[in-house]
Amino acid sequence: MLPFVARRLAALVVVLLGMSLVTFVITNLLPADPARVSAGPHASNADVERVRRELGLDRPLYIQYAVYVRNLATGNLGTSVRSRQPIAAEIRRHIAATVELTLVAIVVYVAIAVPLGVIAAAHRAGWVDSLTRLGAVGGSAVAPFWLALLLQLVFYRMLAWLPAGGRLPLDVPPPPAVTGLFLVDSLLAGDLHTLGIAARHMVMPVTALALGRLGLTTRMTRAQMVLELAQDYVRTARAKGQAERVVLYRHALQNALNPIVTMVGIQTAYLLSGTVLVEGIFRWPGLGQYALDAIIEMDVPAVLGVALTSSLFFVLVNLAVDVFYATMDPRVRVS
Amino acid sequence: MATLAVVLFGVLGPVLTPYDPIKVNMDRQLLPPGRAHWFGTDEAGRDLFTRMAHGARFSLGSAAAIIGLATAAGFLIGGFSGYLGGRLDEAVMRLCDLIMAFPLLILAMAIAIALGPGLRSSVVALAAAWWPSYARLVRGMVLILKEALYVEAARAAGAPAARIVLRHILPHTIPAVSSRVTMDLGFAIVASSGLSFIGLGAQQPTPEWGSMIATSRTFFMTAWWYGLFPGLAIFATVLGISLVGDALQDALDPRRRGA
Repeated sequence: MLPFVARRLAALVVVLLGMSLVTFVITNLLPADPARVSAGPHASNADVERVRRELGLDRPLYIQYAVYVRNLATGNLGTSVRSRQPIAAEIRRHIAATVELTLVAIVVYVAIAVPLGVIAAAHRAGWVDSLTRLGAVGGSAVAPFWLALLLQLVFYRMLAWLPAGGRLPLDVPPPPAVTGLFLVDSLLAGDLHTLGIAARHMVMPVTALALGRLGLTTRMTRAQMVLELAQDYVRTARAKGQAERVVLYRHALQNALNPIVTMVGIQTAYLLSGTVLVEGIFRWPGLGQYALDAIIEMDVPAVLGVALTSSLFFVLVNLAVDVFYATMDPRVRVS
Repeated sequence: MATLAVVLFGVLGPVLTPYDPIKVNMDRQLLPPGRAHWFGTDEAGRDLFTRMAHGARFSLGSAAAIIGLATAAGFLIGGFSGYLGGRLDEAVMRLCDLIMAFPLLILAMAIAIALGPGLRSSVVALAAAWWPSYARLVRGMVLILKEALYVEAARAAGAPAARIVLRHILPHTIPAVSSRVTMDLGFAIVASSGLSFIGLGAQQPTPEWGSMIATSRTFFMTAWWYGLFPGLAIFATVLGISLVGDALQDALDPRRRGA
């Protein structure tokens, strides 16, 4: 098990290096001369040259890249054009909100999609099956930002059931920070009142993010389950007189789980993309909101910082998926 | 059918309505849907039906451009990489892995802001993030196809690599790629309207659906129709395209028939 994890971690370093190369190339796509931009609109040519030297932009590209990687390795994402603050510090303030939103979205849609998929596979052509088929096609056609606005219109404006946005109302102090995830922290503090309020604030953002993924994951689960249910061991289990529920969940689902977990890992990319679209609408103070503010002010380094951070999160989720496999399925460890 | 309806809407809509999609009309601000304005008007008194009809061109057009660019790059890069093999192939595949290690829209957002906001850079950005999935798909097929007897015959006859790849191998990958294209077109509409929504795609007053929804945010709580209809247009279009894609896939893949 340990060598496996070590191998994956080594591969992770290579991936991170490569990702830094991609963002470095993107920084150099800028049509404007970065030295001139930093020097300001009224700088003389001599000033621009001085700034160019100060920023190291006069050096060859490969040295600039080496400096860039060294900075990234020490957690330095550069300085925000807008606030003149270190981007890494600003991102650190926003990251927990996005991680919480994304993780809760994953848990919620998996908890709904997997049982639905099992039911759809067990009763093929039944009403659950038809419904999830519709949901899969329909769900992926909805633009998440539009869904977010509709939810806000219906559940905040018309019905007044849910708060319009934010993580907590202004008059509710956040729970003592341990993980930065309000649900976990308030649970740790034993503060069920705050937990409830925080959960109510998550309903709409989580729905807007996860609804599109729900149908697809249900269909994927169903497809895997259909394959497993046709296997001999299922017939054996049934012949032994096992309860159908045990056959479905203990025998078939456990074997169908691997591809489903892979899919969920990959789907995290959609959720993270979705946070950029949705957080702004719900004033959710995460990376997406930060990116949105940065875009309005054309703060390119800050946007690249967000891109790197959320991609890192994506890569880590998939690493967790790999490790999960290896613990579940001994065959993976060997290959 | 739905797709056809949207295309018709985009082609005929602008002709059918008497209004201008851009011209400001201050005494008709934010009118609810009615006989004169089927979908209501926006904050500048512009008819939303007209704007949406014009917007169909931008949304469908940019999705087509994104997927067009991505498939073209995928065909060429995946085709030659798979055929020539060796170090080049290895390097190309690692590059694909890298690009696909980023969430698609996040990478596109980073590229689009570096290029400067606008419909064109959002199209380029999405295509740049999208091509690796096509390159991989094509390459996988090329690896099998290049072992075929007729390819060997072409090689023995002295045909140059470019001709073998373009004339003999790539045409066989078209069916599989095209069923993927119909699926991706829908996602491309959602993705490009998303970039417009966060201000990196089409800019006001261009009547693009995503940017219309973005502007509607300010007025959405009072003028529900403003954001509702462009979003419905996205929904109906993407749904239509993915249904067509599904049917196409069933028709092209005999194994899926009757499943």
